[in-house]
Amino acid sequence: MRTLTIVGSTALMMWLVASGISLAAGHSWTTTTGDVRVACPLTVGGSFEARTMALAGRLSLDPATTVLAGELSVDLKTLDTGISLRNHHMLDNYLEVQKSEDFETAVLSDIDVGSLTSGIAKGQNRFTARLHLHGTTQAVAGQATMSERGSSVRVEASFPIRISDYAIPAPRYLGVGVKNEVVVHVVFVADKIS
Amino acid sequence: MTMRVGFVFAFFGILVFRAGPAGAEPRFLSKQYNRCSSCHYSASGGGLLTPYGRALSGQELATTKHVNAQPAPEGQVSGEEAFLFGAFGDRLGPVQLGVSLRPSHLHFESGAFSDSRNLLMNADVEGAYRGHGWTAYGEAGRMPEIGSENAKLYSREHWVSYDSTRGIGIKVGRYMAAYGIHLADHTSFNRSDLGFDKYDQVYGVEVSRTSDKSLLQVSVSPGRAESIVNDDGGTSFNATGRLQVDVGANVVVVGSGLYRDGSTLEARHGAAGGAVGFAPGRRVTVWTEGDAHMRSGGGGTSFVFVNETAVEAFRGVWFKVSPQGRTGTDLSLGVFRWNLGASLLPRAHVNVSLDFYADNVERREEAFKTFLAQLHMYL
Repeated sequence: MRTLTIVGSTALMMWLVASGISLAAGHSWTTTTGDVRVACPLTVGGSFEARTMALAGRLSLDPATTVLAGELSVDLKTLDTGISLRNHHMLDNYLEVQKSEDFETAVLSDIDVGSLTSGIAKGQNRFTARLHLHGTTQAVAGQATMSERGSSVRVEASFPIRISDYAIPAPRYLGVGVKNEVVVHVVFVADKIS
Repeated sequence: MTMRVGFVFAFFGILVFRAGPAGAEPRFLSKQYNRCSSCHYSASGGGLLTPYGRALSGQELATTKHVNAQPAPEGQVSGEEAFLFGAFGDRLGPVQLGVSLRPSHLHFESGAFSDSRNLLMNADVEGAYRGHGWTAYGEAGRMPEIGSENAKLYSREHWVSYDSTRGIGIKVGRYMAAYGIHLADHTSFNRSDLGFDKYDQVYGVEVSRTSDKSLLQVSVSPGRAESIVNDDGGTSFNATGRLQVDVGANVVVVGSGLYRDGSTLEARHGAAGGAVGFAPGRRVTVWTEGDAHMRSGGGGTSFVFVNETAVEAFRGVWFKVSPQGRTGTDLSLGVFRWNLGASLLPRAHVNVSLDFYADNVERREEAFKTFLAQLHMYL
C-alpha cells in the first residue's frame, strides 16, 4: 500500500517533469485503478501473495518541496491470500483490523522522489515515504517506474518492509511462518484532475 | 484370443498393482501453495502430513469444516484434525504419527472382457520427528500382492535429514528421488516408465538448496532400494536433479534430469523434462509436463506428455481433466490416455477419489477403460 503511494507520487512527479508541466500549476492526481501485492516468503520455503485492488488516494505537487502532498491508502480488510484460513489469521491475528479504524487501512504519505530541479528521467527511480500500518508509522524506501498514458500516469513500484517494525507479531502457525521481510508491489493508474 | 486376454490382464495388472498412494496435491497451487514442504515432511511431497498440513486439511480443504482463526499452540494440532482424532492429546510431543488407509474398487473392461475387484491398496503407519533442523521420518505398512507375490510388510520410505537456517539441506536414507511433478494420479502414468513408480525409492543421499524463489534437489544413489535389498541384479548408480523456480505465488517452472547406469536388468538410460504449473484463479490449477526418456543400446527415445487441469467447483469438490500420452519405441507401444476424475473431501482427512481412464494403445483397436474408486482415510 505504501509502495503504491510512493510509486504513485513518484510517477506523478516524473510525469510532470517529463511533460514539461509547470510544477506550480497546482494539478492533482487521483488514482483510478490499483493492484497491491505483498509477497510473503515462508520459513519453510516458497511464498504466497496477499493481494487487493482497494487502493485509493489523491496527490498533488507542492512546488516548494520535493514531497508530494496527499496520501494513498489501502483497505486492509480486502487483502486476500487465496484461502480463508490464511486470510483470517492475517487479518485477525496479525494485522488486527478489528481493533480500530486506524488498523483497517495502510496509508502512504510524505512521498519524496528527490529533487525535481534537475528533472526526473523515465525509468526506475528511488523514492522515500512514510507508511502507517498497524498503528505504527515508519519510513520506507523503494524503486518506482512510471509511464504516461494520455492524461494518466501508470506507476509501478516496490519496497520492502519488516513486519517487526510495525509491532506485528511474527506470523507463525503450526510450524509454518512468514519471514520478517515482505515486499510490497504496487501498480496503479492516476488521472490528472484540475 | 488367449493373447488378447493375456495382454488385457497384463495391462490391468500394471494399472491395479502399481496404483498406490498419491503424492502431494500440486492442484493446491491455486491456493498459493507452490511447495510441498508446508504440508508434508518430504520436500518432494506425499506421505505424512505436518501439523500445518493436518490443520489445513480440515479447516481449509474439507467441505464441512469451518475456519478456526484462533492461534494454535506452536507445533500442536488438536481435535478431529489430529492423529486418531486427538486420542493421544499432546502426549506424543514433537512426534507426529499418521495412519493411511485406502480401500479401493476397480472395474476394468476392454471389448467383451471385464473384471471388477475390491482391494486394500494401502494400510500404512507413518511417523516423524522434527526439531532443531533435524527430521527423522519412517513409514511401515502393507504392500499389496503383486503378481504371484503375496502381500507383505514394507517400508516405503525411511530417512533422516538436516536443514540449515541458510536453506541447505541433506537427506540420507530410503526415499523417492525428486523428479518432475508428482501428480495425484494413482496410476503414475507419466512417472512409471521413467522409473519413479510407487516402489522405485532409492537408498541414497539428497542435497538441497531452498530459497524464497527456488528449490534445487540433487540425489545420488547406488541403486533402487528394492534391488539393493533383494539383490536382484538391478542395482546401478543413478543420479537425479530437479530445479523448481517459483515465478510467482501461483506460477511454477520445473526442470528435471535423470541418469541411471546399466545393470543386468536394464540398459543405461536417462531422462530430461520440464513442467509448468499455473493457477489462473483461486479454484483452477493447470499443470503440464513433458519428458524425454532415452535408452542406450537401441530402443529409441520415448516422449511422455501429461496435462492436468483441476477445478474446485465447490469447497472440497474437485474435478479434473488429464490427457496423457507416451510415444512408442522399439520396446513398447505408444499409449494415449484420457483421465477424468473427481475428488471429494467431505471432512478432515477423508478423501473420495473417482477416476475414469480410457487408454488407446497403439495398434490396438479397442480402448481399455478403467474406473477406480478410492476412499482415502488419513487418521
